[in-house]
Amino acid sequence: MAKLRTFLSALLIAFLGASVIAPLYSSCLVVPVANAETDELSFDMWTLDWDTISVDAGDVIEQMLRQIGIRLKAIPLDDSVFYQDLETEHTYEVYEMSLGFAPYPGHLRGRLHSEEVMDYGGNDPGYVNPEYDALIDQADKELDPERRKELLWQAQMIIAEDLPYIPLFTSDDVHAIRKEWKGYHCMPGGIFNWYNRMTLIDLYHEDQEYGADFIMAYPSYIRRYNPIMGTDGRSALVVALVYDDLVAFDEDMNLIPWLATDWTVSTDGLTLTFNIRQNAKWHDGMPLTAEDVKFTIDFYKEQEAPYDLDLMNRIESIETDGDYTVIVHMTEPYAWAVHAFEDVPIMPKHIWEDKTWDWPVHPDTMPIGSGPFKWDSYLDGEWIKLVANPDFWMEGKPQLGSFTIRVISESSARFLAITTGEVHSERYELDTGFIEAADANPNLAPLEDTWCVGMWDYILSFNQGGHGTVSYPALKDPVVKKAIAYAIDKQRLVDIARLGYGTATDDYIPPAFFGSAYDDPDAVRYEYNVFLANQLLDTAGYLDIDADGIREMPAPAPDSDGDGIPDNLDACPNVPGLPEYGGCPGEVETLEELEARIDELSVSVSDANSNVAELTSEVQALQSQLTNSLNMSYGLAVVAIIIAIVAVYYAMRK
Amino acid sequence: MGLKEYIGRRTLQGITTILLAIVLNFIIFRIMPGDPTRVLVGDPRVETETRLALIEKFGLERPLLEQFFLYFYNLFSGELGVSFTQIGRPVTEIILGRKMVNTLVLMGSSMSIAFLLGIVFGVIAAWKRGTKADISFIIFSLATYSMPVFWFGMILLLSFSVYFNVFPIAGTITPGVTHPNFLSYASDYLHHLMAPMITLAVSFFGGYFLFMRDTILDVFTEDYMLTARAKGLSDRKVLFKHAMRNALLPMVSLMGVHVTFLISGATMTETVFSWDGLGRLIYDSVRMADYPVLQGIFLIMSILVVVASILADITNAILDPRIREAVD
Repeated sequence: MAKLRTFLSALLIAFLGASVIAPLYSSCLVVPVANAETDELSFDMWTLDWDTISVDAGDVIEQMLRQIGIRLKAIPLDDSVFYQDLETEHTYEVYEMSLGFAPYPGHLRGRLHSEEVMDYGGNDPGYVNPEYDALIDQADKELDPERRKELLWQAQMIIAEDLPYIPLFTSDDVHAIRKEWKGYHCMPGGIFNWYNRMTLIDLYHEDQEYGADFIMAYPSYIRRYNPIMGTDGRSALVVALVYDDLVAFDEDMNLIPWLATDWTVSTDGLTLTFNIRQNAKWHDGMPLTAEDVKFTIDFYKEQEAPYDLDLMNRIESIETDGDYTVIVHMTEPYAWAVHAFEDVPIMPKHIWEDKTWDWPVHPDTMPIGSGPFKWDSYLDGEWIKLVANPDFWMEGKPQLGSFTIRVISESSARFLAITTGEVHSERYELDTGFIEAADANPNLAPLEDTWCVGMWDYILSFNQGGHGTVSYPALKDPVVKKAIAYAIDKQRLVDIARLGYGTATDDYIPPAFFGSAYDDPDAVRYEYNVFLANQLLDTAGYLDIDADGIREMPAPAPDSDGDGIPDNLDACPNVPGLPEYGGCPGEVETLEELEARIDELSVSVSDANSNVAELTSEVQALQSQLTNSLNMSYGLAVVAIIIAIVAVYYAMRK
Repeated sequence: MGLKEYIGRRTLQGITTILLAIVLNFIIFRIMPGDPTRVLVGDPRVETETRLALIEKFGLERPLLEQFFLYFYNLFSGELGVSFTQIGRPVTEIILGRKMVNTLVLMGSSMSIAFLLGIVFGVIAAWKRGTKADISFIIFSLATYSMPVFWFGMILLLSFSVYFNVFPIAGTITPGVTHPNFLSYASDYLHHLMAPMITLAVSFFGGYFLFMRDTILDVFTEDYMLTARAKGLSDRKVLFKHAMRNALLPMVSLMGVHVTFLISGATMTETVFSWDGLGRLIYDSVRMADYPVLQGIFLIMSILVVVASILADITNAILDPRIREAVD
């Protein structure tokens, strides 16, 4: 007993000590040490460790950039560490991974608009450019597609000059599917992407045009039965099979009628009128009317469901006109309004009326929609069997008799199951490691037939420091990034990282994905040219002074005037006046020059102000980190208290 | 101090351990990097506002201490919370369902097979120490003990499911089939169970075998073995009545520790054979930072470990007169 008591009290003291000491060291524990001041062009380039494409491409980029004396050290990182930094810490230097496209070019706002410079925001680099923001804001309101395209091209031009990130390539979708299955459609994103509705209704077996049973392997079970929340790729496909949206996309990413037979947008963009199909029915036999569409929108808005907010926040109200027409009133014109309706599954009013947006559906009932397939049976965690909906509004569709989803968790087991015919295809594209085996297998459809441009675009992103946490002057300098862009052979990246099944992307809105309409003839592109890259760096003064193969920052010391940008202002000390008083060398100043200098000074004063603002936000970040670690130590204290109670209990017993 | 008091003391220690486990479960998952709302975003169209709204819904923006007290309070009102990744589904429903049965069946069958075979062959090997049979058993068990279980699983999968096509490739039951009666359901289930069970039994066998063999060899050196032989007892009687019974005591303790596997499952094997059990649930939940599910599983696991080890101690106390006397 005595020993136990000694042990317990030692433990108690240790925990109490830890809870006192931990907060003191919290800044060392929590705040990553950022090496902001490097005088070499040497940076850490993070890649995503589980993504072989990201890791392989990262290694190749590191090799390529050696030719121009820049070191981007490829460091594969676990996604939890990686994303945590992008979301709340914003200290990364360079990263290379894929972000993913939506079916319409909304990513230019999500990735680089200054509104997204925030914790959990999409603007990872912290890129701030008011001119760019204005163009994007304008494009989002522009209803005329041609003018909208012009605006987006202008925005693309700006970022192609500033290069907050360099687009590299898309990893394309090649599928393993047994060769007897026909009728799938290739569209950007792949043959089994969730917005590829045509594949799901046109798929058939070559010996059995109607009623064949299709089995698809899934890496894990779908997570959400609720159509509102089915936003992960796995659940989204099932949602697309069971539910209908008002509109859909065709193979070239154009909008096509789906539940809505046609629609009009008023010239001011404030009124959208959809005519609803008259022969659509819910799986339980009830007719689908405009009332259901109105209910769905109202449901999102009244319940404040946190999904599709770009659209929902802009909808003022919705009304029905007869049984088969809905009129949507917008608060402001929104260029992607109809596109966004592709992502709003229409839900049956008679089932959802008394539910909340986070109703899990399962196990109370099975999902009831109006889509081509209806729920037949399932075993939670293992399989779902959907059967063709005989009342589907499209005549003679779907051609399949049933669509079964089967969980096979291990990737090689999935591939083996396809080769034995136990399943017919799988949800996602082939892992790079199976491409050769799939190519050689005579039972699978030739990879050329299933090759579609992928939605996952790999980019090389540079921290621009807009979050105010760090500042890397060299990464803000467009010359360095242009040199990097010139020095990367994108096709070689595709050949190595994706065995050729990828598409090199030069544009921020790649026409290969978004359609040839977005092919800007005047776009700024960086053709692979190592000579030019070296020349750019030489001219800008990035020279390898110590001959270690890595270029140094240009002399004099970078950014000596402290404005955050290494430029020619740094050439002389930031002291106004004549050289003999420590000022800039040069001619005696004229009145105009003095005035110009005063302007310059006021600019630097405002710069200083913004620096103060940056520092304040840094201090706030540190404070919140301190609070976090204090909280953590409170947790430890709770442990200590429990131990103390136990210890006291033992002490009392004696 | 009587047996009753001994049990009382062990129970009290057990409760303390469980309390500590609750606190640690809470802290450990939260100091790991990773954000639960991240995995809810698969469609690039999901907006930043959605993330922020979900963080608020899950209460993740609140101070850690407040989250802890809420968790603690809810726990004692019998509420384990709802899953983050499967929004709205209660944790108890996820854990205490089919997944748990699947894991119990898989782990229970493979562990008991391995345990029985380990004991039998351990005794035989110890008896025939130094012979060719003993050495080949040792080599076999060392090999199976040290080989990666997922690798062995893949080999089984490749040979029996792909080339010979005798076992199904994945799952616990044939998908999309309605079984007319329980018998056909059970045989279908058993058919699916075979491959993962063999894999696990083979991987567990080595450990039990070596442990049993060593313990028996230890027992052989005891004085009472000499006495037994001097008394002229038959080999069989010496081996099974005197050696094996004494050697079983450490095995009981070992079994008590290994009971956790019954619940924690075997993540690798469950993944290779797509066996829908708790091991994979743990793995998925860690990857997706699904704190409520993790807390739930680990709470159940810690309770089980504590209960099992108490039971093992009590069993030992009953089986082993020396412990009983020491306690008294």
